Amino acid sequence: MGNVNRNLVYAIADVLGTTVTFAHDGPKMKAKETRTVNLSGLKVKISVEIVSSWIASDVYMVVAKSTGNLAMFIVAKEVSKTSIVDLHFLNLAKMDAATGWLEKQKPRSVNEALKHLDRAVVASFVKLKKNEWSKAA
Amino acid sequence: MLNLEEFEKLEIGDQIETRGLFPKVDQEPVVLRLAARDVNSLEFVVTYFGVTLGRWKCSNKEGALSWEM
Repeated sequence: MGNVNRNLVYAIADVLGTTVTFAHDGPKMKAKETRTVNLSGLKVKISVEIVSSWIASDVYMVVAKSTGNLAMFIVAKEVSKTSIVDLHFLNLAKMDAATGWLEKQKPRSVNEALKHLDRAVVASFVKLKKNEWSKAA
Repeated sequence: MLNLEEFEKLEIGDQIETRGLFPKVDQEPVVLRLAARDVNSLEFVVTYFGVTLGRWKCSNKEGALSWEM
């Protein structure tokens, strides 16, 4: 994984609950898994797949599709050697095709990506410490 | 998550809320809203943060409830 920042890849993998692999020849992160979630006694298979990934100024970004119209835009960056992760839930019905979205948009920053996602973002959270999330304003 | 008594009583528009998909992140529940029903089956529109996950069907097969997603 060459100069890849493994901490940030692991941070993304931790959010998704999957293994994330990283291509040696470019900013291409991959993950595809189905896991069973217990919804108050009802066991449901939920899929997670990274369909787009991008790195801008040492900030790692992925778009991952889940079940139905649910997707996630995950951003990982390092501040003072600590991984900070933002998680934005997306409605696929309100955005352009998720597959290859970041590669097509080529965002120079997270804010630029969010500006393009606009109405597709339904909820945003930030992870500051292990297992400690807070809702973003 | 749904018993036979609840199965019989649910009306169109009624909602069931379950544990969320990412409980470590937020307590937002998965919401199942009853969209259609007949004697032996219920069809729910399922959402999370208002995003549609799909239509899930619950059938009563001789007293045993089974789900299709």
